[in-house]
Amino acid sequence: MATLTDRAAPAAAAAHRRGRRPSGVQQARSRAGWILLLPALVHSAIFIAVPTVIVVALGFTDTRIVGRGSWIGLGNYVKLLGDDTFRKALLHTLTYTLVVVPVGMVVALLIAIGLNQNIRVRGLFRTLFYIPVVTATVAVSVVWLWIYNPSTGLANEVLAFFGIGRSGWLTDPHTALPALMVVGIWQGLGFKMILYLAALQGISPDLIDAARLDGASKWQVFRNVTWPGLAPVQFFVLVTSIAGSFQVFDLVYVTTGGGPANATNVLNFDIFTNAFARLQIGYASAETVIMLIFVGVLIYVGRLSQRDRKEL
Amino acid sequence: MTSANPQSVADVVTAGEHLRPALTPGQRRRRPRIGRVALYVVLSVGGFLMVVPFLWMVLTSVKTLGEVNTFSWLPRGFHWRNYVEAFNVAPFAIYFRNSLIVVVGQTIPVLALTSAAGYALAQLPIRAKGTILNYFILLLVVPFQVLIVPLFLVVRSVPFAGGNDILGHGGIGWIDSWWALIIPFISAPLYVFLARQFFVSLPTELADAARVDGVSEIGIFFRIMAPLAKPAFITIALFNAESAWNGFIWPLVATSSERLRPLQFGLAAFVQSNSGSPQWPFIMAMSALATLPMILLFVFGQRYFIAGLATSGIKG
Amino acid sequence: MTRKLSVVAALAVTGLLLAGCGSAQPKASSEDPAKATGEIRVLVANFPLNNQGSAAFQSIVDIFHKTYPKITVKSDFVPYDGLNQKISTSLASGQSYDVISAGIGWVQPLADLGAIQNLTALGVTKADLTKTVYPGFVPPMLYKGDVYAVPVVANPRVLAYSKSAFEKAGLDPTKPPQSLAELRADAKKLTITDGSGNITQTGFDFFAPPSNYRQQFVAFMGALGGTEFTGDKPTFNTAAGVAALDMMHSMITVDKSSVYGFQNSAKTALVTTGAAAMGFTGPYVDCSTNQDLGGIGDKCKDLVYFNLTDKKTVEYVGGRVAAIGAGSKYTKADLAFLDAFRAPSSQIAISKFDVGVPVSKDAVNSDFVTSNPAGSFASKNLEKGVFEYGGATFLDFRAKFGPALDAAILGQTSAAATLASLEKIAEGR
Repeated sequence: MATLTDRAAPAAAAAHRRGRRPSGVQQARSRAGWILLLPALVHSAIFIAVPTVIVVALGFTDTRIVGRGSWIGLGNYVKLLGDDTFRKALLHTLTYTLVVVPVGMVVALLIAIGLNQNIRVRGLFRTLFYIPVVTATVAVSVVWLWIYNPSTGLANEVLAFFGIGRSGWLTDPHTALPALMVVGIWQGLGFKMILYLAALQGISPDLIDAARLDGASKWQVFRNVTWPGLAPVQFFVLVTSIAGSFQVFDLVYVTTGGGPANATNVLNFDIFTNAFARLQIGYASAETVIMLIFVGVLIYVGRLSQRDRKEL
Repeated sequence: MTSANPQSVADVVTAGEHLRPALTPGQRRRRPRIGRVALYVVLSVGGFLMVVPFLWMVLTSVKTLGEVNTFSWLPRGFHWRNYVEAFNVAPFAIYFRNSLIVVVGQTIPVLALTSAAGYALAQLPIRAKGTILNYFILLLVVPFQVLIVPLFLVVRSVPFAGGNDILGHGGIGWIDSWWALIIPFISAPLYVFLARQFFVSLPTELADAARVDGVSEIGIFFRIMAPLAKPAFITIALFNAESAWNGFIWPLVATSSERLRPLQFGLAAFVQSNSGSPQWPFIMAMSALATLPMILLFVFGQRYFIAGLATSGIKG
Repeated sequence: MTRKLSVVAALAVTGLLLAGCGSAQPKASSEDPAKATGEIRVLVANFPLNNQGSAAFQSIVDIFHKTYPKITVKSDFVPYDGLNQKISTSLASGQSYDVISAGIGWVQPLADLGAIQNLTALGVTKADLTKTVYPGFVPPMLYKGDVYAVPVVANPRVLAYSKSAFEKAGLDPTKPPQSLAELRADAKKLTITDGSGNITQTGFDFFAPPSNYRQQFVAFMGALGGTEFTGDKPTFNTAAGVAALDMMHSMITVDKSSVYGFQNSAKTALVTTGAAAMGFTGPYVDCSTNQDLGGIGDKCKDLVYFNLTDKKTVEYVGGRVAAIGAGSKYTKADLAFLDAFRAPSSQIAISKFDVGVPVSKDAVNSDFVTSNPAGSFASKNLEKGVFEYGGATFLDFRAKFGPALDAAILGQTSAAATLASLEKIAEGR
């Protein structure tokens, strides 16, 4: 009997392993699968894969205006290695990701646990936590710019209320990136929280009751029942959070423009600056390839950390 | 107490909702009130922090131009006129309409393409499906900014469009047309991934039963699986609506005509004024209006939304 | 057209796309302007995308139509920030615009990239330009000695101080600072802080957000006699440049007579709101008394305008230019459109939106300019203009310039080291 975690047609897989040709039914199913898959596959190939391949190709050229460039092999990559701005941007992005992703996931999980309790107006709270996600990033950035305004912003008013001195926030190279991290965490909470919430609600209460009756403490219940049940959604959230962090752009563009003194220059913003402010598309493309490699590695590492690999 | 054989995972989630609170026998009577109150407090504070920027946006939208020079919470008076005046500054009605057209135009195709692909990757025996899934995950990582120029080239080189010949040369392809704003986005790797996660968790007995009854594979998808996928549909539709609604840079490069420009362009109308400073009250007013439909969509779709997301990730 | 881009066989598809052909352009116009037909595409970055902007642009089109009534004009409005994306994509696809508007500083890089046409070859000479605009505006339009763009509007920055603030600090309200050292000393005296060290009155407001101190630096350096570029050679790494950058560092980080990177919520010049005693400002001040609309009323009378003075008196001037796109087949019509762009009435219309003043000598006495104290002061001093432009590497340089200045201003690196490394970038090394 198929369970909820079952995958399609284990029998066919077994048949495959035994070296038998797939049956007619299998072939029909496979054909149908291809038919259903093809439109999205073709579409993504044309509109995303092909442009990506163009970008990779451009990375080996010194193109400034597409169509007028020459092949320079690994020239861009060599230059990137020596480019201080790029190295710092990479560092900033990694720092940003390594803070925002885990912190965001933990906070979101805690909120989800909180919202999983039987409380009233649960729907209202969920909506409140979700609003930052649907607010346009540009609008969010503008509002946070005001909040972080050193002279008249809310943040400094709050600090003053608690008796702490004013901060330069986004105008101080030391606090600018951390200030943006806060915004990043804040904005990503709603999305992660909803996913965790749903996952928590899907964990069978029977298991929890059984564990409790066996005398498990709350922590043990969480660790042995809840946490494994969250593993599949953890992976999804991890992948999309890492990708999202590396893709941060609008936030930086509207608030700090990469400054001050490049303190908030992140990879995607550096790529954009190279591509359009400096009109060095070839160079920016090489930078993109490096970025993709880093993200790919991070996701792969993240995937390894998932002991239960059945989710893929 | 539990649902032994749920017909869909949505049922599991909603069943779970009704069966909570998960109070074990020992704790039933001794649930401390303090803990509950503390929870409410924490959630209220947290929730408030979440909407502070949005509240701020709305409050500022009713201030006057002179007021925004200095920080203030409450406006001195409620200048709702700003909303009306903002509409007079630029053809916002047209911009709203355009964004609406793009969102509506994308929604059905997106749902169709991504759910079909997701289902195929989840439940049908395609040889290379692991590789193909990795391919989609890789693609969702690529940031959009870098794709602008190559995508522009692709859209411009569509054969037989906008004066192009069979090789896609000579004309402008889909540039400056509705196609350019809609077609490149009728499928996205993220949604395929999302749909796939959802379908993987659906039980296969229904499909098996239908197969025995002689329904074709495609038929199974359309008649049995798709109706079960309503939560995933709502989820994808919401995400897609949000990104289509807020798109700026692609419409900027892909269109030149005023009649195609979307909402985000309207905000640019206020960025410059005589003194060189942006006209914040108007910007905030339009931003608030722009956010409202998205919030309303979420509120209404919330029930399905959580159920939908529930199934897209929780089970293998 | 030959393509130097070589692609691997597997990328043949992309190769087809990259070997983009030029757009199918209709036949070139016939000789007689009144009968010529066709369509020109104009990339407009000076106007905001609103009803007023569209109306102002329409008035320019109307002037154009007096000479070329049958040629349609298709406008493409972009916010200034999106200019490069538009230029990139249009050039990449061979769909270049017929008329491109851009800023001073863009001319040389665009010309070097082959994106705009040589106007001297089309009949516009340096002498033609100097007939109508101040001589200082001509060099930024040149590339390799030829004219490649025409100035449309000037965006100057002037300085102002508050008479009452001067009096309160014991300074003579009739005498603006006569040297940078005096400026620094005055700024220090004018800075008022509260008990906990927060500035309540800024001594000298640079009116710059973080990473945007470039124009102010050009002004300071100009006052010391330095220039950013001479031709396409960087000349900022000199004693004047180092001294100017040092001065800015001293004023901001050492004296703390202003908060680095600070702008008020509305992004208006602090000296006009009373939050600063002295500082940079734009060429337009709203002297109306309607506070709700941003007017500063009586404050207008309190402000005295001046320019930076040391070895020289200079006024920083930015500007908008218009050029003809490469590949345009309607060059004669384009030239007529450029003329329409530069007609005095057009300049005035654009100035209203673009925080600018007309660039032609004739418009100095127009109502628009004389009615505004800041504008009329700026206009009268346009001949003292210093500009921010360079050679073909300018866009590269400009992108790095802002953040590099930050580092020197904040004291992270020395002024000399900063300018030395920027010089390398400007030379393309």
